[in-house]
Amino acid sequence: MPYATQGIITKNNPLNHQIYRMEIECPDIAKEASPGQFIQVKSSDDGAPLLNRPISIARVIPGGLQIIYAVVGTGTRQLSEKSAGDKLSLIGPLGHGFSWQPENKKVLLVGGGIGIAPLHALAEGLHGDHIEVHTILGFNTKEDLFSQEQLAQWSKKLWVTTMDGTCGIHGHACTPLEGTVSIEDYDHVYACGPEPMLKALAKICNSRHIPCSLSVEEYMACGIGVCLGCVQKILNEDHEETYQRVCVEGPVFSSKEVVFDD
Amino acid sequence: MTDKRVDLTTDLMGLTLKNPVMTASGTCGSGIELLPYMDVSKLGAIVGKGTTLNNKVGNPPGRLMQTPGGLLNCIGLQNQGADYFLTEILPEVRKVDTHFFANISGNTVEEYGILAEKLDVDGISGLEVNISCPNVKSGGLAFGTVPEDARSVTEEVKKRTGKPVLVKLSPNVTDITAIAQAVEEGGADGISLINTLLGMSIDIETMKASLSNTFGGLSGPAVKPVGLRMVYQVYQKVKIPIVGLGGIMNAEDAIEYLLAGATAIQLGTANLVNPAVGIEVIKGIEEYMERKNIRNMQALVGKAHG
Repeated sequence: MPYATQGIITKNNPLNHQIYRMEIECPDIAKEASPGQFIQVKSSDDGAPLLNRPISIARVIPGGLQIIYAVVGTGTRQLSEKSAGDKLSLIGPLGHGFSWQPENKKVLLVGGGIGIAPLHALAEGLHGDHIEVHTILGFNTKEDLFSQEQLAQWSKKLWVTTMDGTCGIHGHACTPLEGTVSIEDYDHVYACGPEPMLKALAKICNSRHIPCSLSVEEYMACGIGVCLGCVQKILNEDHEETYQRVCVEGPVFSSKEVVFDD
Repeated sequence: MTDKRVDLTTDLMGLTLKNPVMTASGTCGSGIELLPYMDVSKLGAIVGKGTTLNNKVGNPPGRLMQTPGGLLNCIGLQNQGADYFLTEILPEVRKVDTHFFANISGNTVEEYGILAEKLDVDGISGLEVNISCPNVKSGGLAFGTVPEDARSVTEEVKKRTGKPVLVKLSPNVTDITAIAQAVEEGGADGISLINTLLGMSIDIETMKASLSNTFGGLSGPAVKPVGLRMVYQVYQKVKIPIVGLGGIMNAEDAIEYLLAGATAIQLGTANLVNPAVGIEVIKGIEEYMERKNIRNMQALVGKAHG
């Protein structure tokens, strides 16, 4: 069950020029949170911006949560300016997150940019269940790198890609699948990142019949399922195209059900 | 507990509401969705998500855009239709001990009538008729922008239901009082106003409209002065009760609407920001009345008029 509560910020540090990691004491949310879920964060109490911002849960830590966010607009800039001890209105945990089969042996995680954030809790959980984790992290350039060391501790293998070739493999997050990494080796693929990345990965996994879970992003208002603003086109069980709520039925969907527009 | 010094009980169209605080259509699901955050039965009433005769998939993504003090939306009335509502949602709604209004939308006068009849069942206290939809039989102009159309819909709905009928007016008109008077003549038991204001936003990177439907409805604090003005104007022209809404974020905003002439108020966008806001607004109105030594709700309604 989700809670609307006040958290207390315990840490808020930059990881690079754009990405911040915040730790928030919020025991109610923490005890119910699972990998791939998100929280709604109120960045300002004076109504500007008006809406809460959805931010994925990076990790559950004792008595609280770790979130990793990119400063992209007014709300996230306000978050970046907060300090330890500040209070923060939160709603969560929200959404349908990642799940895994205990009998799986080896899985692949693919993260692009800020989409890497929710993979922390997933990698940690899989690793804890003795499932071998391999990870690909995609960035635009070397200066954008974050979390590669943290994810490496739960990953048996980890590859970094950059669009400009300044670090790791030259290309996007799916480039390693063209030779370095064999998709057939995995029982399941998990991904979060920009839509073109998810679309490319879904195509690869669907054609080889490899189960694949995608965490999608959509502009959100309420985050609790009442406004129907944040929908994703989904092919339902009756093979009809419907719009499902990213905040309730998602953000994690199977690659087989997500319909990408051309 | 001390003795209750103020009484928030509100009579709306013959229904006794615990207080004047309602939740607006499309911002609270069927009320059930807010249960994790507050005791929904404490609300005066819930107005359910807009229901159409048949399933509606709604507009493609690109349904929302935040603007200064406001929110644009073009959800497109996504819902699973009246039959689904009756079999799957209404049984859950009945478990919550407060009034529930079904909000209905149609493409023709007949469709409104069929919906009104279908929803004339136990567990629904009244209807709220959304007349901001295009009338497909008369060139697609919204029913709510043409006084004769607004009256026809109201008459048809009244003919087909025994329940109290609120007609929700669109603010996108030249003279709101003309529409209000037309629905009063059509037999409406009450008026909700305002629905969202038509607006748009453009993404300067893609050089295209932000919303998939190009235009959307603006809600939130930015529209409050407009809603308030319309409630004030309509109060002077009709005898039926007014339910005021448009940008109410807290008790102070709600009180302004009551003073302008609203018998009850609805919280919309505020629910999307704080799903427990209803409880806070009820408490805030109570505290205001204590401070002003006003015992009954009725004494507040329309007090801003000379």
